[in-house]
Amino acid sequence: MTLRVLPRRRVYRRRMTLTWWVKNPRYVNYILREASSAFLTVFAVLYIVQFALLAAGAGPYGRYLAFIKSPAWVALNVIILIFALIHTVSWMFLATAATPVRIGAHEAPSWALTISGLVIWLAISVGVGYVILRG
Amino acid sequence: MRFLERLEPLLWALFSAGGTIAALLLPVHVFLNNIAMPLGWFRPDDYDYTHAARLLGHPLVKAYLAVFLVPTLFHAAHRIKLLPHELVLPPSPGIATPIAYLIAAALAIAAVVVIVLAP
Repeated sequence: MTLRVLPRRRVYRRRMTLTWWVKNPRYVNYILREASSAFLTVFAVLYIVQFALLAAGAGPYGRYLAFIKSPAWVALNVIILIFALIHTVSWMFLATAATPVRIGAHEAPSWALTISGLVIWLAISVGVGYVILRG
Repeated sequence: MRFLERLEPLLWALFSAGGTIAALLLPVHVFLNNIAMPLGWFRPDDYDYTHAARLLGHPLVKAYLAVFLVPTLFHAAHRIKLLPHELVLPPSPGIATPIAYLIAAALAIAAVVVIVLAP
């Protein structure tokens, strides 16, 4: 850690409101995409708790299965799902814009990469769903 | 902070990998495990203790879940560290960065421990 002693200065700081982003759709898009990360973490915490209860045995896991039938649990997870979908769709746009794919001399258009990404997502989802239910 | 600067390439790689992994895997897990199953859209024995224990008992499933959750947590931390600055705090790098990565690291360790221990 380097310590630098700076003279006291008065720094201009533009006042920012908590809702600076609501008026412009591009900013709304940006904040929703960034905020989705918080819901990714919430989901991970729910999974960690579920696995911990599974590790604790059939009794605790049975109480977990009874608890998740509550409407509040389902409501929370509908919100998590909405942000998960925001993450998936926005990531397919971001990632395909950030990584150009060249085939010979031609560069694949980013919309084609985005659609390919979404198709791959659907295919993987079906596969994972099959393992979760029938595996 | 110096330590975090040295880790920057690794953290950036985890951000990118975790973003892709979460984009591909998260929605189906949330939908099936946390919405469809509690609402009883599937047969009860599709998600009872025996079924869950058999799934989690498989080493490939354990590896899969670790590869799903750990990069996802570090991906999220990479964005969460900026959220307070975008919304309320002054726009300078601050205390939110080490806190976000510490929480992600603690949760990643917890995730690996419970995945290994379960069922």
